[in-house]
Amino acid sequence: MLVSRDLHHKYRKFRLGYLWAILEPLGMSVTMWFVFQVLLGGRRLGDQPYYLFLTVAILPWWWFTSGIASSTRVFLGPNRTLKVSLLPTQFMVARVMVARFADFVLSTPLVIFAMLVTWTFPGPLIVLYPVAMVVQFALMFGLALMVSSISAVVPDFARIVRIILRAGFYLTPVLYSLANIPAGARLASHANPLVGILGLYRMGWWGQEHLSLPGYAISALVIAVVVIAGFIVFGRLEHRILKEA
Amino acid sequence: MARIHVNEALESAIRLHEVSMSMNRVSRRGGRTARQRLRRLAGDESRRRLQVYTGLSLEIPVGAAVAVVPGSKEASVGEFMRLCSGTLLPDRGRVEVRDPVVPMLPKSGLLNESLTVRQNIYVAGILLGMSPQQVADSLAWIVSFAGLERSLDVYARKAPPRLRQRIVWTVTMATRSRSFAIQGALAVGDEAFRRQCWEYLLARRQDGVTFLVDDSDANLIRFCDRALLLLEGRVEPIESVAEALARRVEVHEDRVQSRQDEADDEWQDE
Repeated sequence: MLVSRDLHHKYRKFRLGYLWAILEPLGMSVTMWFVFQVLLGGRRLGDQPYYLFLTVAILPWWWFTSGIASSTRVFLGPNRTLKVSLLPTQFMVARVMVARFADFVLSTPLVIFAMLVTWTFPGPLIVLYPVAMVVQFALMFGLALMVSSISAVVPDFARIVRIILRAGFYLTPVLYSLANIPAGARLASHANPLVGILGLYRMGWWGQEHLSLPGYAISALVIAVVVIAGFIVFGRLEHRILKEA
Repeated sequence: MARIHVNEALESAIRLHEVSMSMNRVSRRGGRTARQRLRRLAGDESRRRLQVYTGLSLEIPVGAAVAVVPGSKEASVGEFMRLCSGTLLPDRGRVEVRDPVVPMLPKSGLLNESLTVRQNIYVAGILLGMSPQQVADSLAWIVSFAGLERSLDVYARKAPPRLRQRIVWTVTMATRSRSFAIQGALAVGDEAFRRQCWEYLLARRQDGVTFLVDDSDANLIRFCDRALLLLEGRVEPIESVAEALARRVEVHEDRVQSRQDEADDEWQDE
């Protein structure tokens, strides 16, 4: 109920309402496709068809950035609900994460649109798409616990997160494929947990290109560390969050 | 994940063991110089850390109706209530409760204006620790007690303030908890509903439910059987509510007197 209220609150002021959940990433993917495929098409970036390749990754990236950016604001300012709620404090973070996840689900028809436009359909490994969603949610929840609690104590941290997210867009293979990364750095790049997650999303269409078991093991390890660290940091800072409420 | 330790084997309703806690106090900057006025205009605030409790240990017996009386400006009743209900955690020490202590504030963030009254009942109940099934089971009682038959599907933003107070009060009581921390909301709404509140609360007190109460002096004397006087850094249990209220006046007069003495000393030094 609270999540649907959050979504309603987010989209009610717009005439196109929930359509913005699709239009925003659509605009971004079309722009990126135009710039990197049409204008700068000389160099082969990513797998083909590029528009589908881009769309499959840009939606999870959009979900990731909006979720983490929202988490910086969860405990900012007075929070009257926290003063009476007997639910675990983590619930406030989970609520924001579920709302952003709903945004992501609303935007997934774009992938179908991209498949129809490029007339490219997935193989059996598409079953990894929902697995990627679950793993990404877990990563985001752990990271959001960390980010929201630190932002509540050090408000400047929200600005730092914004810079990191911007840099992350170029350091994560959203626009390009792992093949565009120098061979020596390819395995190490999996230390960025989103590399493994985006690989899982793309596996359904480009199975062989994204199959790197050691890489996935590294990403899985980093995700587990981030989630555990998120809970620990949140637990340490929880009493300070409650004081600021 | 749970913020507070619920120990069903505990002999008392609430137990604070060696609790220490500091809080940031935010206040607007004072002063009359141009610089101070500019800082005030810019919204600059001063923050100071105040040690609210140091090594506080105390037990509240089961079935007690305790008046929580502020004895100093620094000792906040709200913080003590939140500490007992687990919506505030101590820096050191431990708070144990026999049953969850359900908080009730007059202007709480429980109601959401963009949800209907029915949806709000569910959300508020869940925030106060009920399961969706428990809320569903209590819905008929909540509706009849708070008189919500005709306003159940109305948006909360259209509900008058007194109706909102009735909703929050009734949902809080519907938790059927054995401990409550009530701040300024012992009896709410119009005269008829206030009478209903009193009848219900007195019956629950007879049943052995524990109450921590912060309300008007008259209500405290009527409802509570003992008191806690909150002083700077410590809490003083007092057997009679009237005595606690008298002590509060004494403490206040002592402070006024000591401030006057300090001012006199400064003037003489100059």
